[in-house]
Amino acid sequence: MTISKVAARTAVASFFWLMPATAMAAPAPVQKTEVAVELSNGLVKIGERASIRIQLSATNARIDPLTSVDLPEVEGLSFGAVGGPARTSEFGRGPRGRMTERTRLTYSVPVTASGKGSYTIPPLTLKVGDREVRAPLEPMALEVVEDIVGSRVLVLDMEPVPERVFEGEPYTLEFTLGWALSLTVDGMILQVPWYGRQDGVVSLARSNSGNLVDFPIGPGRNRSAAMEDLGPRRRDGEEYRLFTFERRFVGTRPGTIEFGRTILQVNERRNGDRFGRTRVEPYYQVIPDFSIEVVPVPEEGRPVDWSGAIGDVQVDREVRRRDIDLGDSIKFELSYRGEGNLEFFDPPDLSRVAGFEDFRVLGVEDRTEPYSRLIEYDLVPRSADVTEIPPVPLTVFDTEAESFRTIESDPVEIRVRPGDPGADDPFEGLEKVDEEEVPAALRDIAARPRSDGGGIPSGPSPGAAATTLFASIVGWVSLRRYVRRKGDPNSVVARRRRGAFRRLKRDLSAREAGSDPSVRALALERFLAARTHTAPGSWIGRSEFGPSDGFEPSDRLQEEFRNLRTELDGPVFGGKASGSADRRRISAFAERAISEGL
Amino acid sequence: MATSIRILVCCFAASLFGSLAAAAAQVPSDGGGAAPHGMDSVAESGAGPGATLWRTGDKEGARAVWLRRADDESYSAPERARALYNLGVAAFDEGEALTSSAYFEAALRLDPRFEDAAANRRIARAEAGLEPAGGEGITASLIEACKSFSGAEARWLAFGGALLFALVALCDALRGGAFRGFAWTLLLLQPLAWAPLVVRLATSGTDDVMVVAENGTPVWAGPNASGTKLGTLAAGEITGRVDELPEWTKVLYHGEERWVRTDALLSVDR
Repeated sequence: MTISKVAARTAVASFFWLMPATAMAAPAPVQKTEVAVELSNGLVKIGERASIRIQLSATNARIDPLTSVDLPEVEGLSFGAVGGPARTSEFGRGPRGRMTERTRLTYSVPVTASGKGSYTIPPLTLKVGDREVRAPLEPMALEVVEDIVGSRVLVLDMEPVPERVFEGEPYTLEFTLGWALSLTVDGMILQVPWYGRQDGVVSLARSNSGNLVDFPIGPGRNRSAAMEDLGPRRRDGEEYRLFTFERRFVGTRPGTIEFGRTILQVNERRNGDRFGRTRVEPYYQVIPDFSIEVVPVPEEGRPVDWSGAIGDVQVDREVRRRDIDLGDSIKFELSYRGEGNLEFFDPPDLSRVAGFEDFRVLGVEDRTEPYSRLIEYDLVPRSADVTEIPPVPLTVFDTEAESFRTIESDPVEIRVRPGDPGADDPFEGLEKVDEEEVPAALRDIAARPRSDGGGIPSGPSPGAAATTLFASIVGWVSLRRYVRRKGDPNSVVARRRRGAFRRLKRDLSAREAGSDPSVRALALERFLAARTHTAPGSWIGRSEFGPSDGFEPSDRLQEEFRNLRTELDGPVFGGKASGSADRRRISAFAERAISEGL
Repeated sequence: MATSIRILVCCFAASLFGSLAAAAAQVPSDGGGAAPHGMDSVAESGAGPGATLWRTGDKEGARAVWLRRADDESYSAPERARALYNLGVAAFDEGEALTSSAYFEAALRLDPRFEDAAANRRIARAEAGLEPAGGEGITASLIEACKSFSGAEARWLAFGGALLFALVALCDALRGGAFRGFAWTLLLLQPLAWAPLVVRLATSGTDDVMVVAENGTPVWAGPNASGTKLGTLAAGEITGRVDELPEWTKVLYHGEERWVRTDALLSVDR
C-alpha cells in the first residue's frame, strides 16, 4: 500500500471518527417555544360563550413567556381579557430512552358574539419571548347560530324603552323571563352586565308587591335580584313559568347609557344515556345591547320657580274637614302621581303661593312611595272670612311636549265659623305666652389666649388600658385557681392559722392572763391548735411536738416547749405557785415555732 | 390587713367616681352661671392680637387672625377653641346666626367644657331657629357627659379603673376570694370608667360639616348645579364630609354620597 492510499484511508477514518465527536461537542440547537392558537368551539349557540385558546409548549426547555396579544377587531365580536395560564406537564421517553418533559401553558381569550352569523377571526399577533408570532396560519371561523330550542322553551322579552330621556326623568326597564314547564330545570341565571354598574344612573325605589323571589343574576357569583314570580302562564299554547324583572332608574347627567346584552341561560337536566349518565343541556335567549341617551333639561323657558319636577305628573288634593271653627286646623293633602321624578322635586312652599296669605302653615309631612308623592299641610285659616283653599301650582317639565307647564290642584271650598268676635288672629294672644324668652345678649369674645392650664399628661394609650383590664381579668382567674390548688386560703382553718399569733397576743394581753396561768396555758393551746389544724383540747398535757404536727422542730424548740408546759401546767394541775412562763416568753416561743415552720 | 386594703380601695374608688360626677356636673348647662359681658368693653391686658384688633374696630383683621389660629395645629386645643369661639361671636355680630352656631359647635368639639361656647351656641341656635343641640333624654345627656372629658382624662379614667380592678383582683386571688364581691362590683362598674374613652374613640376621626345656608342647601347627584337635584340638607344639619372639589363638597346624604356647594357648609371638626 502506498503512502497516499494510507493517508487517504487515515483521512477517511478520521473523518468518520471526528464527526460524532464534533457533533457531541457542538452545542445543541435552541428549541423554540411552539405556539398553537385555535377556537374552543367553531359552532356555538347565540348567548353561549366561545374562547380562543393560545397554547405555548416546549420539551425539556424553558417556555418563553407570552408578553402581549394583539387581538383583531371583528365586527360583531368582542374579546375578553386574556385569562390563564394553565400549566400542564407530560413526561415520556425520547427516541434514545431519555426522559422527556413536555410543558404546556394554555391561555384563554373569551369571545362573545353580538348576534347570530358567521364570523372570521384573523390570525392573532402574539409576542412570545422576544419574537413575534402570527397564529394560526389560517383565519378562524366562528359560526353563531340561534338557539332554536332555546327560543322555543325560553321566554325573554323586554318592554320598549325610550331611546332618549331627559336628565332626571325616570325610565323603566321591564323584562319578562321564564321557561317552559316541560323542562327539568337544573339551574338558571340572567346575565345583566349593566345592572348596578352604570355611572350617572340612580336606581329608584320600586314597589314590593307581588310574590317576590331572589333570582340568580350575573356576571359574578352569589348575586341575585328580586323578581316577581308570576307562576305558570300560558303562552302560544304552552305553559311557562314566568318572572318579571322591573327596575326604575333616572339618569343624573347627560350622556349615553349603554346596556350590554342581556342573556337568559336555563340548564335542562337530561337523564339516562345508554350508560345511565345524566347531562346538562344549556339553553339561551338573548336581548341585544341597546342604549339610552340622556339629554339635559333645556334652560330656555325654564321658570325661576321651577321645582325640578320632570315627567308626566298629575296632582290631586284631599281635605278631610271643610267646615271648621276659627282656630282649628285643616289637613290639606296634595298627591302627585304619574311617571316622573316624584321623589326629587321640591314640595310647593305655600308661604310663596298667592292666596295662602290667609293661612298659617303649622307643619308639612312629606311621604314618597313608588309612583306617588304625598304632601300633607297643616293649615290654619287666619280669619273667618276665608272661604277657599286656593289652587297650588307646580311647574313641571313635560318630557313629551319638551316644554315647561304648570299643573294646579283644584281649589277647595271651606267654611270657617267665627269664634270669639273681634279675635281675627286666633294665635294673637298665645304667641306671647308660649314662646320662651330667649336671652338676647351673647357672651363677649375671649380676649386672653388660653393654654392647656398645666393640663394632665396625655395618659396611657387605650390599648394599654385595655391590656391592663384584660390581663387583670385573666390573671385574676388564673391566680385564684393556682392559689386554691394549695388549699383555700380563705377557708376558716386557713384564716384561723394566719390569725393564730395575733389572737395569742390578744389573749395574752388580757388582764387575767397576767395572773392566771390557766389563761396563758389556754391561749398557748389555742395557738398551737390553730397552727396545726387541730382542736385545742388535743394539746392539753402535751409537751412535745410530733411528726403529725407537720414540721420538724429543733431540739431547742422542743426543750423550750417542755419547759413551758411544765411551768404552765404545774400551777394548774399541781397546785404549785405560778411559774416563770410569762407572756413575753410564750410570745417568743410562738414566734420561734412559726419561724421553724409551725 | 384586709381591713386596711378595703379602706384604701374604697378611697380610690370614691375618688374615681367622684371625678366622674364632677365632670358630669361640669357639662355646660347652657346659660346658667356668669352673667353676659357687655359687648363694648375696652381691650383687656394680656389680650391676644385678634382681640386687640377687635376692640379697636378692625373686625376683618380680627377674623383673619382667629381663622389662622383656629386651623393652626401648633396651638393647643383650648386656644384653637377660643379662636373658633371668637369667630362665632364675630359671625353673630354680622347677623350670621347659623355660621356663628357652627363656629361654637367647632369650639366645643375641641374643648367640650368651654362654658361660654356652650351658652353662646344655645343663643345662636335659637336665633337661627334651630332646636337646642345635643338632643333630649337620658342617653343624650350621658353622651354629652362623656364628651365633656378631654382625651387625656378619658384615657386616665379608663386606665385608673383597670388598675383599681387589677389591685383588688390581685388581693382577692391571693386571699382566696376574700374580696370577691368587691372585685365583681368593680368589674361591673368598668363600663362607667370606660364610657368617656369609648365615646371619644367612636366619635374621633370624623370630618363633620354643618349647613350654614339659611334655607338649607340642595343636594345634587354630581358636582354640577344643572344636574339632578336629589333633595335638600336643612339649615343647621350636620353631616359627614367625604371629599372635596373646587366649589363642591361630597357629603353623606341618607347614607349615600352626594354633592353640595362648599359655600353652604362650614367644618365643625378642626
